[in-house]
Amino acid sequence: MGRLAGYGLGLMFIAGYALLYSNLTLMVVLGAMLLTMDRHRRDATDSAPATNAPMISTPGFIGGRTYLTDLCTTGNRMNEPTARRLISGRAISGNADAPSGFGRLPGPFLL
Amino acid sequence: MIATNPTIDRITGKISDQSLLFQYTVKLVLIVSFSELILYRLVSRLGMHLSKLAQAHEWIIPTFTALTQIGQWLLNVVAILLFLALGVGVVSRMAGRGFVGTNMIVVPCVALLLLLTVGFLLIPPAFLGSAIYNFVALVALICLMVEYLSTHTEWSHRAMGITYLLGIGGWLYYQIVSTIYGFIGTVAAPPFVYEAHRGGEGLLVLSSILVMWAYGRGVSFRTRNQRQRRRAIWFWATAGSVFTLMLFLDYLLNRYDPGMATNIRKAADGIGWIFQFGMGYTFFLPFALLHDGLVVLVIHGH
Repeated sequence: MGRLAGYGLGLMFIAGYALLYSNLTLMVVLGAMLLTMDRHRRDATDSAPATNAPMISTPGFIGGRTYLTDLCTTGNRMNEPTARRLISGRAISGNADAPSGFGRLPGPFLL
Repeated sequence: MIATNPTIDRITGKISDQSLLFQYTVKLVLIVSFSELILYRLVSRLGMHLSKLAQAHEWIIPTFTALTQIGQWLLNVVAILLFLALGVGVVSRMAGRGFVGTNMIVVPCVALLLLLTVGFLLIPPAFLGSAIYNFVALVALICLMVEYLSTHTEWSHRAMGITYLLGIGGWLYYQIVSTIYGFIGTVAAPPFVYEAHRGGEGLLVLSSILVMWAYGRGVSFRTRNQRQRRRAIWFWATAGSVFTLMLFLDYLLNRYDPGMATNIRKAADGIGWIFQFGMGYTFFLPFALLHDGLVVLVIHGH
């Protein structure tokens, strides 16, 4: 669960028991909005099936390897420093979990 | 033959994904609204029931008056912060997804709610204004919950979401229909308002219990993470010990000092009574669960 969803649930239950004031109604709406921001996205962890694998490395790949996030979350490939050295900061610069970086992956790896 | 690709679920609901303004506004809303809940809606009611005690102790009335005034001030602060948070939230939704899907209903509804709130500051809402306000809020909540249900396929999440929506919906139905009947001026009783009100309250209690099933997994033993398992052991051992102690506390105190046991029993009755009348059963009944949930959120929030 993301922390936003936790805040949303907090607001929903602080206000929800009796909507006596208009600000409590707004609080429930804000809480529900925060709750919807908690999304699960399915990301590839292991190697893609051979039928889907690209033959040529794309800008998202360094030496045929996947992105930093992928490398570090599988637990069976390599540790983060090694992954960073390989990627050399071009594909994903700072935050390994940054969804914006991951969102720019080429087609077959966007799940 | 296409092999299935093993996947993991990545959570994208991190607050750090949002703008700094939104992050701090939401945090402030939560802190200030919780303080307002305690100071305005609980302490002010507590003060009303202490008239006998206030005759003996002069400090009680000014203290409670000051605390209530702070709570009232916080109520206004929450309202301003809510405007800011909803405004930034709507802009963020529009920037992220555009005016498509549920946004086509949610964004206009939220904008209308904000406009109506400002409008009602200038012109007090009559029956019709109040009914429209609640109806717009209900539509926005239905859309948001449909969006939540479409992105959360687990039964625990869906059960929590549906019961919460029905709970709030019951209260809003009660408000809308009663107000419309008042506006029309009919003497006939509105249909199912009592049932919707009471049923909605019960469903909110149920939802506040289901939220533990849906989101309280941080204290599960079924994890390979050693740190998480150790935390779960600490959490459940402490919770179990405190719960067992509370069950036998009255008996043990009675054996130690009957006078003290009587005083503590009276105080506990008083606190329970004030909570029931101050916050209603919806908040009172699952209070221990909500408290546990808060602990879980604080400890295991990421």
